[in-house]
Amino acid sequence: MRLLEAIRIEIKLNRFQIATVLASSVGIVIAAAYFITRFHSIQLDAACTSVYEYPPGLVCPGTSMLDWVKITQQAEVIPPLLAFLPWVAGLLLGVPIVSQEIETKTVLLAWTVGPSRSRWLLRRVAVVLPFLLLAMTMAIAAGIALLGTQKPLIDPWRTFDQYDSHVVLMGRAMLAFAIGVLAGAYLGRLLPALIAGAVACALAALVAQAIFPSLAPPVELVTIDEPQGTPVSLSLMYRLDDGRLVSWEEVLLTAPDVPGTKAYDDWETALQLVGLGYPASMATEIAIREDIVTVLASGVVLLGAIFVVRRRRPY
Amino acid sequence: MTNGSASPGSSTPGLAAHDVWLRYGPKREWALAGAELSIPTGCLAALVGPNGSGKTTLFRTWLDFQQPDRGSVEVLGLDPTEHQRDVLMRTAYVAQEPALYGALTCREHHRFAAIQRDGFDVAAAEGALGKVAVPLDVKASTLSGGQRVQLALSIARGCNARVLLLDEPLANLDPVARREVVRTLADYAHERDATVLVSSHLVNDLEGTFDHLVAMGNGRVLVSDPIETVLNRYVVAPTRLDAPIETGEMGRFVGRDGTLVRVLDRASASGNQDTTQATIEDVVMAVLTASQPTAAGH
Repeated sequence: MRLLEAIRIEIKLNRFQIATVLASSVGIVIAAAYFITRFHSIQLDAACTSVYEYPPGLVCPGTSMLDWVKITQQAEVIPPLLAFLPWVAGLLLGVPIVSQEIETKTVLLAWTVGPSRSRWLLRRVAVVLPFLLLAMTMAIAAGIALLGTQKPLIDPWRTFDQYDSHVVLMGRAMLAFAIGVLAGAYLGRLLPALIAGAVACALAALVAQAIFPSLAPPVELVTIDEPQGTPVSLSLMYRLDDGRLVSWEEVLLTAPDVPGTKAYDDWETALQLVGLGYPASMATEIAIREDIVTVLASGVVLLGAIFVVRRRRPY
Repeated sequence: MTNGSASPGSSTPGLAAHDVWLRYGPKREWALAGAELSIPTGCLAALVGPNGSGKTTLFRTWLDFQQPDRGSVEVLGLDPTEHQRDVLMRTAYVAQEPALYGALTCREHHRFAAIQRDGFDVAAAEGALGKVAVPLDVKASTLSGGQRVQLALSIARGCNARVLLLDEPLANLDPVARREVVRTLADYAHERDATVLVSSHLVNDLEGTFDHLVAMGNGRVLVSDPIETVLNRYVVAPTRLDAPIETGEMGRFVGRDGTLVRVLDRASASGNQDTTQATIEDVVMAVLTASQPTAAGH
C-alpha cells in the first residue's frame, strides 16, 4: 500500500515529463503503424523488395513497385527519430529529477523531512526509469515491425539495417537519463542542465561509436547479400599465401618488388581481400553488448549523481 | 563535538553554536562572525535580528546545508556533518518560504513525508492541520500564504522531532493563528522536552510564551538567554539624540510614544533614576536598530 502510494506520488510529481516521453514514443508507434498499413495495402510480393535479384517468373506490378519506393522514402523519417529518441527522452526524464526540485526549492522539504538524500533519489529514479524503458520498448517494437514489413526478406533482428533503432535504444536512453540526473544535480538549474546534458550525450554518442569495433572480435565477412541482412564492415585485410591476414601497410613490407613493376602487379592481383566485421547474424548480440556497456556506464554516472546529491547545497 | 545525543532531561543543549564563522565566498562578508549560543531542550526559543544578520545561515549550519569555516555547531550534541542522518531524524525544518509541491494535496504531502521518514506520524500531522481548518484534499498551489505555513508546520509536527527549526513561520499568519501556533509550539517543546527555535520579526508575540531569546546582529549573537534573564538584565531610559553612547547601552530607538529611548544593562544604569523595566520588545528593538547590517561586516 505504502509502495503504491510512493509510486503514485512520484508519478504525479513527474507527470509532465513522463507524459511527454510516452507521447513521443506513442507518436512514433502510430507513425510506424501508418507506414506498415500502407506497405500491407499495396500487397507486393516480398521477393519484389529484393534489390539483388528477382526469381524467374516473378511479376512485380510497376505501380505497386512505385508505391513501395514512395512509402519507403516517406518512412525514412522514422529511423532518425528513433535514433534521437533515447537521448531526448532520457534527458527529459533525468534532468528535472533533481534540478527542478532545487529550482522550486521543494528540495528543502525532501532533503530535511527524510534522513537520506540517496534513498530519496533512488526512489525517484526507480519510479521514473520504468517509464523510460517502456517508451523505448514501444519504440524498438515499432522500428523492428516497420523494418520487417518494409524489407520482408530480412530478419529485422539479424541485420545492421537501422542499428540505431535496435535494442541499443534501451541502453542509450538509460545513459542519457543518468547523464541528465547528474547534470541536474550538479548544476541545479533546469535549462543549463539540459544544455550540459545534451553536450554530454553527444560526447557519449561519439564514445559509443568509438568503442563499437571493440564490442566483439570482428570475424571474416562472407557475404553482404540479402536475405542474410546487412553486416558491418570494420576493416579490410589481405590474406597472404600462408593464410595470414595482414593490413595494407604490412602488405607493402612483404611485397616482392617495387610497385609499378609487373612482378609486383601480379603479386598484388593474386592477394585475397578480406572484409572483417560483424555479420548480420550478430546484430542483436552486438546491440545487447552495447546495452551492457551503456547500462554499466549509466550505473557509474548515477553513482556520481548520488555523490553530488549527498554533498550539494539545496540552493 | 560529542557522539551521543541528548536524552530528555539531560543537560546537553538542543542547539548550540561555538564560535561559528562562515561566509559564502572568500571575498564576501562574514555571514556568521563568531556566533556563540546554546539553547536548552524543553524550550521555545525566538531568534530575532535584522535582515542579513545571519539567522537563516545559522539554520543552514544546523541542517548541514552549509559547513562553518571555523567553529562548530551541534544539534542535541551531534555534529550535523558527521551525523547527518541522525541529526535529520531528530530535526524538522520549515523554510522561510514553505517548500511545498504545488501539485500535491495536503494529504499527499503527509503521505510523501511518511514515505521519506520512518516513524512520521500522519495522524498527528493531519490532526494539526484539521485543528486550523485547512482542508486535506486541496492542492498546495491553491492554499493561501497562511495555509501553506500551516501545512508546513503540520509536516514538522508529524516528524516527531526533538528539534524544530522554523524560519519565520509566523509572518504570513493572522494574529489569532499566530497566537495559536506559538501556544502549540510551546506545548510541543515542554511536553516533549524538545527545542523549538522560531526566527521572527514579530516581537509582540515573544513575551509570555517564549522561554528563550536569541538576538543576532551582523553575524554575531548579541543575546542568548532565558526570557526572564533578559527582562531582569535590561532597563529602558529616555535619551536625547546627541547623548553619548554609554557603557552597557544596547541600542536606542524611537518608542511608541515618539520619544527616543535607549536600552541599558541594569548594572550600568544603576545611577540613572529615570529607568523603567524593559520589555522583550524594547530589547529586540534595541538590537534591531543597533545592528543594522553594515558594510564593515566583521
